[in-house]
Amino acid sequence: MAKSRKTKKKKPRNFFWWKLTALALLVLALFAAGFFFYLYVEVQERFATRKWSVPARVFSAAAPIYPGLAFSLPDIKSMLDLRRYQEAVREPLHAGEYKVGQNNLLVHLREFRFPGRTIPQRQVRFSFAKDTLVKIEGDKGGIPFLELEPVEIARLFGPERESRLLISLKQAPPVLVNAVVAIEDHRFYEHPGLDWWGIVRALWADLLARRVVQGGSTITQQLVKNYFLEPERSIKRKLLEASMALVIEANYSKDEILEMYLNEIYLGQRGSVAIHGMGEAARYYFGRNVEDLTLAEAAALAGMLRAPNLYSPIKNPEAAKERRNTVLKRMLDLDQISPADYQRACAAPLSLARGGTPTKFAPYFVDYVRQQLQELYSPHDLESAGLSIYTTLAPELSLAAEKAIRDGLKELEERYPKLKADAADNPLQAALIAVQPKTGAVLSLVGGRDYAESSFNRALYAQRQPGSAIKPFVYLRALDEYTPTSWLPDEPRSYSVGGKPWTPKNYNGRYQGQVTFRTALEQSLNAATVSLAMAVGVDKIIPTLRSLGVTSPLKPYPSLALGAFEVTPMELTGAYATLDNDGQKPHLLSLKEVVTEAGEKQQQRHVEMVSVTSAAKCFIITNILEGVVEEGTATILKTLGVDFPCAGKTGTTSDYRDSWFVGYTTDLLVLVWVGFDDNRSTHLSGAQGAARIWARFVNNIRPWINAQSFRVPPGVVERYVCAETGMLATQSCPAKKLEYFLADKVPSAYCTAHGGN
Amino acid sequence: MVTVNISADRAPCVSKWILLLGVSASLFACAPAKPVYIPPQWQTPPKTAPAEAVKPEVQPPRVEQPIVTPPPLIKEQDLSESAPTATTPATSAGPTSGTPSRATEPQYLASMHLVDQAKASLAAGDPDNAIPPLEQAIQVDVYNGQAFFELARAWKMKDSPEKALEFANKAEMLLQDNRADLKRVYQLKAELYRELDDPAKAEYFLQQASRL
Repeated sequence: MAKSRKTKKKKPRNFFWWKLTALALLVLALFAAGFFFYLYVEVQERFATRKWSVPARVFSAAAPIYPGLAFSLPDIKSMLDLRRYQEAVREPLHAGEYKVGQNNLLVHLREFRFPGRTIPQRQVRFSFAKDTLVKIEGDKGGIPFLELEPVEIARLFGPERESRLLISLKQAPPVLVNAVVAIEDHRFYEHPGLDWWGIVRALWADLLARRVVQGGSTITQQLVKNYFLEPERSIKRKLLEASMALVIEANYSKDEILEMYLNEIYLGQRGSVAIHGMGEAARYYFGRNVEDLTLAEAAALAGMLRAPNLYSPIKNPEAAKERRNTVLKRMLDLDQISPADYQRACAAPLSLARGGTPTKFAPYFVDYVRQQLQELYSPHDLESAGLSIYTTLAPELSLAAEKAIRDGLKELEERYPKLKADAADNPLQAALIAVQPKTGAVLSLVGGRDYAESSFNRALYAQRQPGSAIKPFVYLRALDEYTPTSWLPDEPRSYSVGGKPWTPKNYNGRYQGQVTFRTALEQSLNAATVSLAMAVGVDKIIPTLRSLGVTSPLKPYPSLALGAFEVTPMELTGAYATLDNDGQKPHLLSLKEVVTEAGEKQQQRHVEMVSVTSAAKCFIITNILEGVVEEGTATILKTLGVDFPCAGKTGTTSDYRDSWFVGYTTDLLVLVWVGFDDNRSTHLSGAQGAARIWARFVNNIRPWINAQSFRVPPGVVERYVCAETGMLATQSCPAKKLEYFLADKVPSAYCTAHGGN
Repeated sequence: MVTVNISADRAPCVSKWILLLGVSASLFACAPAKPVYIPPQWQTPPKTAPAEAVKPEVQPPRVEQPIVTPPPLIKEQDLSESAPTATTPATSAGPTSGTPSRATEPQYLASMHLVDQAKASLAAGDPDNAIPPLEQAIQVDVYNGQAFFELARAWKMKDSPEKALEFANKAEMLLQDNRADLKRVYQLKAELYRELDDPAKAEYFLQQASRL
């Protein structure tokens, strides 16, 4: 009896503890389930939408190359260097390498994918003779035309400043995949996300050291660590990492995980910008597309994973090489490579890509493009959506323009020391715009002397008086009533401007009495120009200026003919482009295309132009402006080595506050402005200031200039005229010259001074 | 325009007649056979200098040249026909297949390579893929009239007749020396003006095309 009473008392207590334990386990299970569900949702959310913040990349235009171009071997070589091609140490060449021969250059061009087309990867040979590219040969024979890939000129980073070039697993070569798996997680394809053996090994090492000293992290765990978690070495972090790794492995395939890893992993710094992903690292360190990596290069990158800065081939090449060889040894041990490949790769030098393009390439141009993009996209999209932006910039011309301004201003300050003395914190400034007038493509845009000192884009925003640089358009309008041989009075005459008398003065204070229309423009005579403008009607000149793109307020005063109003350099460029484009005003293009990461074209801009005047009139003005260079106010160009057909106009404003020169050939127009931001006098005429910088620029880009004459369009008549009277020449005229007239304004009267009727 | 008045001094009767005869004779000697010379087309100055004095040159020579009378390439009455555009071409002297020198110019060859690529896209009804190489073609050779013509066709296919017309105008200027191409330009312009509801201009260009 007593025994059964004791047994009855024990039963309730045991049952209670069992119930409590079961309840605790249930709560723990629910908690674990909830926790894993939370992790699952977190992972799904993050990976299902945009995985990474990829900044927009801004590209220059591709460079057209064809036989017959006046490019020497050094010219092509420097174009390749700008695109981070390397001189090969041995053959066969890999993509992104070249080899210099006797009058020839063997190049292995990289592939470049544009939306809708691809520049193929191929090996070509450029042959040269007398500073001319005479032949381009590929595997299948002669190549009539090819493009050099664009230069990446900018990335629009977000606050995290991560640089990344996304790749797919298919693009990653097997050597890279094998190298990464071999060194970081050789059981990657076998474990379920956690490598238990690796964990045990690491735990044992930690216990012996009594602190966390070793990782046992799989690739999946590293992905979790880099993608989700803050850097921290603790047991708690390890547990979280392990849990998330299991969730990821349950939801994604091994290939997907590896692809994410190859795009996420941190691989060093470029200044303040972090390099993430193998795609970006391949380009940055070796100047290659990831699919072109060699075994040695792949092993070097895989070796960096453990400690990117310690094993950086740029900062510590010896350590990087040693680490690379460790990776190669590991690959050999795992039978991923043969002993011969191992030996060859270990012996290969670390050939790094040349230093990248300057961190601020064409900064004024990039700002201009960015501005246009900001009207179309939010800052977030620009900084993270991985857009590719294609522009019209010619990178070689852009570098030449910046150099021309830098060196040109320095030369002016040395020539005229007063310019520097007055300029303590407000130095002499300049702007340069180069466009192709037949397409409107902006090839170069420099808005100041030094972007680092002043990012104000004078090319776009400086409102300055054009002075004499506006005269061609006054004469353009006057061609409705006048011809180049018409006589104009060049004498002191007073006009009323706002109720006050105003007398235009010529540059040298002298007047010639009677001058021809042509001479007045060639010599930039103020008195004759104002007289012409008054005869035509200043109010009739205003619509001409408007049609050419001048948007500033224009008052119908006589001084309008001398450019006494404000324009931006860009506006003036557009007006001159019309002259150079046969009377069709081109839309000035800088942004060509915007493409998403998936290759979808979101924005596309095309060549556009609108007829505003006739080709015949533009030709006549252009011909007179050729005279400006030959005999007029810009003859200095000939002394500065400009020896190809070009038209141009100097511009000097009152008190020499602005110095302008606009010059053009058949396919290039360049405008240069020089002045002080605070509008004080430069004491420089257009010829003394801007024209010198113009000459410096065009001489630097001489191979890019197609030196051909301006063609006579329909509607233009040639006649010989007497150099003295301007009338049709007779045989008795001692001096005759060829003159051009509009077809409906051909003179009929012969020279009366020399025997004409 | 300067007006010229010739006045002869009064002289005794016989002297007056002699003087008059003398002046008439010198005028007759000085006057060119034809008063108007009009070059009908774009001209490129010859690569070797100096040009023949009879040929019109793009660059006026800076040395004295004797007066010569170049033979007109077109009749005066061709010019008197009214034209809607200032770029009305005069008819050329005969059929030509393009200026021989252009066909060997490197930029022309490279440009035509791109034009040929674009033509394939246009033939396949894909103007979007034709336009970029054509824009590149005119960048490479700014005087390639065929590139402008194909651009005009591409924009017509994209239902942008105003844009197409601008390029057609340029093509018209540049293809003056190629009757076959010029005819196609006129026909294209006629179609474009029809699309733009301008039957008068459409008819004019159809007539221009039929004359070639």
